[in-house]
Amino acid sequence: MYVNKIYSKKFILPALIIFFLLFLLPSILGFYYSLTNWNSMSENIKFIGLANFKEIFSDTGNFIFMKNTLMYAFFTTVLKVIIGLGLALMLNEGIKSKGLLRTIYFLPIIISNLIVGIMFQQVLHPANGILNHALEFIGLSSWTQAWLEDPSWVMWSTIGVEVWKSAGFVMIIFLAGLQTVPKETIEASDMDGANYWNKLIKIIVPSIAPSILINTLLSIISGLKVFDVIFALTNGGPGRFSEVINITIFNQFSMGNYGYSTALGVIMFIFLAIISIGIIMIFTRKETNS
Amino acid sequence: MKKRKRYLNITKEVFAWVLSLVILVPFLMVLLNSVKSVTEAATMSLALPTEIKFSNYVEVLKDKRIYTSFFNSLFLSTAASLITLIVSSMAAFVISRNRSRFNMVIYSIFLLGLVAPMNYVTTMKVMQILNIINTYTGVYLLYSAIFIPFTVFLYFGFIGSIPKELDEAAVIDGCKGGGLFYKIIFPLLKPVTVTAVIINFLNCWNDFVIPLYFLNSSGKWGMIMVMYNYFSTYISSWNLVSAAMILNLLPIIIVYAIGQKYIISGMTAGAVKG
Repeated sequence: MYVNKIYSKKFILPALIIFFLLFLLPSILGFYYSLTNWNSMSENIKFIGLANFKEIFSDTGNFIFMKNTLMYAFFTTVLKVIIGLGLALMLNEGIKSKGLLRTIYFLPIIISNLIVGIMFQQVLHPANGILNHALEFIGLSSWTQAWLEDPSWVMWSTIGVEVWKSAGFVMIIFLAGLQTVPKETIEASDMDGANYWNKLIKIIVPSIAPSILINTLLSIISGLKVFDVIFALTNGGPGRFSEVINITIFNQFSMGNYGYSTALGVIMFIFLAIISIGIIMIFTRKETNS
Repeated sequence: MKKRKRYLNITKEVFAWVLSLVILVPFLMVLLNSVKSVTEAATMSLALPTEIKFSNYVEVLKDKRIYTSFFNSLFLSTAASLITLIVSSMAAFVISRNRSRFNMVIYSIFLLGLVAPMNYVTTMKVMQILNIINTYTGVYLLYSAIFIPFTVFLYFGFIGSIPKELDEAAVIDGCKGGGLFYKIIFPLLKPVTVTAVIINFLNCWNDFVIPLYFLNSSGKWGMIMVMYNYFSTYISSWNLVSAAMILNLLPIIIVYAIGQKYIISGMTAGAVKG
């Protein structure tokens, strides 16, 4: 009683109302509208059951965006975690200009994805782009590609841009995690003459397991939700070869197929909700322990 | 042994700097081309300009849309981050201090917002019903709704480290509810407040997805959106596009340079503390 009086629930209300009305409610409404033929052409919205979902899964042309989304989420996560860990281990000790380097590696994460996209359209340009020029310069002319125009390369290019953008963020989380590695154990293993690889696998990686988990989960989630980087870089092209689910949602929205677009949103919601429940369980379990 | 280690560290440092070029060179490319002539900038190469033309910037700054969009960005980012900060700190305070089962359920609902995707189409419907579609109010409230989960999460972790005895002492002295929070607790939250404001401000400033979906009238667009428009209008004048990009990067880099410590600590706290 006493606690409820000082810490009035009224304080939670403003945040909850804004969040509920403009985030939660639309998601809940999505479940209803995904079962309708809602579109920009007709005024009345008709209930059509699971027809939208049937259409999504029976249209074989749609497999490409499902494949692309999963491929993007998977490979950006693997590459970001490996490269981020590599950068963190490199900067963790022994380097004098660590602070400045950290600032540079982290820089891309705060730049608007639109600028990153437009910038990399030029970097990856087949004839003029500096990436192909650099490859030619070091004698690897055969490696040059039409990075954004070649259907077999375009997804890898978008993955590369995301890794360029976010590896520094992953690095920062690993750097924080590396501070928890017990110094005594490392020193003891040095005495025993352990080599670096052994120390990495047996001591460092186990003690930074929490940051590996967090980085993996965050990367998977942001990978599945990706929109702006790919929109600015290729807008899903050439054809639909770099289309991911959020691009499809936007295109269907622009065409006025609201019901269909919402159904896609619901599929994404369910997919991510399963992952998020797992994460919340991890978060709250830690909270009650402390 | 010691000598070998020092040698190794120097190699590592040189390698780290070479690697940092991967990050820096694309920015350098934009900077170089922003002072070239149209023909030289057509290839967006790393070649030095034969003549440094600041006139590109003058040309871009002649466009009045730059100014209105700058103030639009400033207004939207400020409004969104202030509202988010006020409502989130209050909510996190009560949830953190009174961890009843009910409050923890609410906290979980907020956390869901960190992961769940937004449903843009139905959000449009709700905004139509609330009559805030295509308005500033609608947009900054929408940004707040998106930022609240992360901000509540950030405050929740920090408030836990402030001793509860402080509240008790204040209550005995006659401070209640709002007074207790604003006079005693809120000033102590300054570090996390600065972090939250900077991160939300930058996220809002950089975003172009919300205007793409929800702001049809170009008069209300922020800088990033206007640059996007500029990019499609001047697609063949890369010198002007580059100058516009640099003008867009400037405010962001200034904020980063000043608030770097807070940005990094906030982002890692958000990720690690959880």
